[in-house]
Formats: sequence, C-alpha cells, structure tokens
Amino acid sequence: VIEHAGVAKARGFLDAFARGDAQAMGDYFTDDLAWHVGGGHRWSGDHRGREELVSYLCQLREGADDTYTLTAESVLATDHHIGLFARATAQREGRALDVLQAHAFTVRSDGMWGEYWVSAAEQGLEDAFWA
Amino acid sequence: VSVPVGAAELRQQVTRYGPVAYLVTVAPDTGRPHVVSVSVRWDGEALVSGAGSRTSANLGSGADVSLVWSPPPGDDYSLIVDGPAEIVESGDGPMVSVRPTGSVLHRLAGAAGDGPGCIPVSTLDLPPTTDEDVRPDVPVARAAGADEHPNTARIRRFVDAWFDSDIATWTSMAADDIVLHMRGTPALDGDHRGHAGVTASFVKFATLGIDSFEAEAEDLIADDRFAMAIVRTAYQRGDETHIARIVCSYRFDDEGMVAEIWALSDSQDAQRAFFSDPPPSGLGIDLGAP
Repeated sequence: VIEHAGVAKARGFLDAFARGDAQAMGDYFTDDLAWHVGGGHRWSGDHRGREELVSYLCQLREGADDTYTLTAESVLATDHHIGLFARATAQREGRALDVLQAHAFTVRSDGMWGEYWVSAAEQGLEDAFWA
Repeated sequence: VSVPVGAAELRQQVTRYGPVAYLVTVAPDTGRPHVVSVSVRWDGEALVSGAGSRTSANLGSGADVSLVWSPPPGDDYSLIVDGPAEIVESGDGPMVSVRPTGSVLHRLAGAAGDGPGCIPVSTLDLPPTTDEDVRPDVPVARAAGADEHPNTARIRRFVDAWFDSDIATWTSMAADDIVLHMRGTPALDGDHRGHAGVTASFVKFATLGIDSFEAEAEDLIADDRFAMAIVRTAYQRGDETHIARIVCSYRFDDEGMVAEIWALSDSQDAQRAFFSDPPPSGLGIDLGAP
C-alpha cells in the first residue's frame, strides 16, 4: 500500500504534540488559519491564527499536567483534507478524560494546513473534564 | 496538454471542482454551439443539471455533450467531461442527464511556470511517501486516485441519502444502536439513539421552519472503521440564510454499519443563532442531520 503523504504529516503533527514542541506544531499551519473547537468548554468556538492555535494546543497539555495524550486510531487523507481519528486521554484534578476525537485539516495547494476542526464524539465528557 | 481522468477518480475530481460547470451542446441542424452555466450533481452514475429550452432542443432525443469546469483558484487545469446526454423529467422539471464516457484535466493555454505537462491526478498536490514510512499499527486510507476504499462509496451513499431526504436508505445503512450526537442546533442538541431516535430527530428538524436546504460533499474519505465528509451547506428560512462548511465524522461497527455520527460547523455561533429562534410553525423540510 502506498501511503498518502498527508498520513505521514498527520503522524508528524501528533509526534510534535506528544513532545510539546510548539515550533514543530505550528510549522504545519498557515499564519491565518481558521480553527474550530467543538463543544461548550473554555476553548470551544471559532478562532483564527497560528499563534493562537499553538497556544491552545500547549494549554491542553499544561491544563492536564502534561497527561494529555492523543493516540491515532485511524488517519485518512486525500490531496485536500486529512481526517485524524484519535483517542484523547488526560487527567486533571481527579478527573479522567477518555474520548474519541475527530480532527480535520484542510490542505492548501502548497501543502500547508489552512483550516482545522476538532470535536469529540461524546463532547459532553470533554466539556465536563475542562469545566 | 491533457491528463486522462480514470473513472474511479471522476467523482473526486467533480467534488474538487465543485457543482458549477459549463454545459456545451450543439444545434443538430445548424451546428451552432450553445454554452450555458449549470449546477451539476450526481444521480447514480450520471451527472445531471437543469435544462433550458435551447439546451433541450439541441439534445432532442439524445446527443453528445461536454461539461467544462474552470480551474479552482491556484490551479492550471480545467476539468472536461464528455458523454452522451438526454433530457429526463424530474420533480424539478426537465433535466440534462450525462453519462460520462471520457474525462480529462486540460492545462490552461499560457499557464505560468514550467510544471510538467502531464501530472498523475493522484499526486497533484502531495507526493506519496515510501512503504518504509508506513506504520503497521495505524490503518491508513489509500491515496486519492488509488482504488477507493469500499466504505468511501458507502458513506457517499449515506450522505446522498441525507441530502435527498431518503430516510429509508439512510436508516438501512445505520446500525440498530446508532448514536447521532447533535450539537449547535439547540432544539435538537443531545444524543439521539437507535433508528427511532434518529428518525424522531429528523421529524423534529422539520418543525424548525427551514424553507430550503442545499448540501454538497466537498470531500469524502473512509477506511474500515471511520469516515469523514466535508460538506458545504446552505439553509434558508425567510430572508435568513445560513451557509457553513461542516465536518461530519462517522464510525462504522464491525458489520460495516454506521454506528456513530457527530459533526462540527465552521461557524458555530452563527449556526446556533440561526437555529435558536425558529418560527412557531415550520414549513419544514424532511431531513436535517448529518
């Protein structure tokens, strides 16, 4: 099977997130990307900007005392979009998070990611975790 | 310079180029060409669009036509689809039905740069990686242009059933214990479980007073366990219009049935506002869930 290049890029992004490497995480995205976080917690909503996105990703890790882990269950890719289904687990203040998330990335013609979505199947559990 | 487009890729290319194309017909008696802008969608294996009087007259009982899509922004190739066409009657009036028999990506004359004249469609944007890069523990979708995963066709049919308000087909592909996670539509937010719960949510959606609903799948990807659809949607209620792109996520069960669905809009506040204050009595459409 020849793997689509987008799959390797998504894995690279996950590796950067696991390392907490803000620079590497940001390298995948355009400066002015639009990004969307589902649910009703502190970061939910529609946002714009690479710096803001990287800050959010770092706060996910810091807010859960560096226990926040994303484990890929499937990575799907075409030339224009990447779909990453990942299990998110974390712990904070005696609470545990364990949800299936869908991450979507829009791939521009230059290979940079120009839009990002993330939402959980059982979003209520994630909302409660960050309450 | 033209790049042949394989049949397996045609749906992806049409999705990529969008619904608006030019339809070219020729008058059978004078040979005079007629070009109109049309909105195209798939109906089974055919591409269909509206038909004006001159287009209908040119087609008569059937003739060969061409559909031409302009290049997307930043792209140097037009998409051209040829095939025999006929006029078919539908609830929306006469429609042109084209059965594609040939399709190419045609490079624009005078396109800037010195890129290759012929580019394999599957690698237009991103080159494939090597086998050494593949991690065996994570399932991966095949590259665009390679053989499509069977679940891509399945989820396309599932999404089309949603667009067409075909609840029977939709539920036939859904697991008995399907869970539809709705959010961003206050009257319906929550988890709707099983065929009965999902159908009830459809019925309730029809009370929200939506006058019209249009949707177009921009991209579809799937593997054994999951699928994702990027969908452009437009809702109309009175003078209000809500347009959004939605990421719809799907999980399959072990039997290949859709077991779980959730979605996220690119304009959550606008969606919530649009659906938060519906008129008391709905004119209603039949369906409104991912």
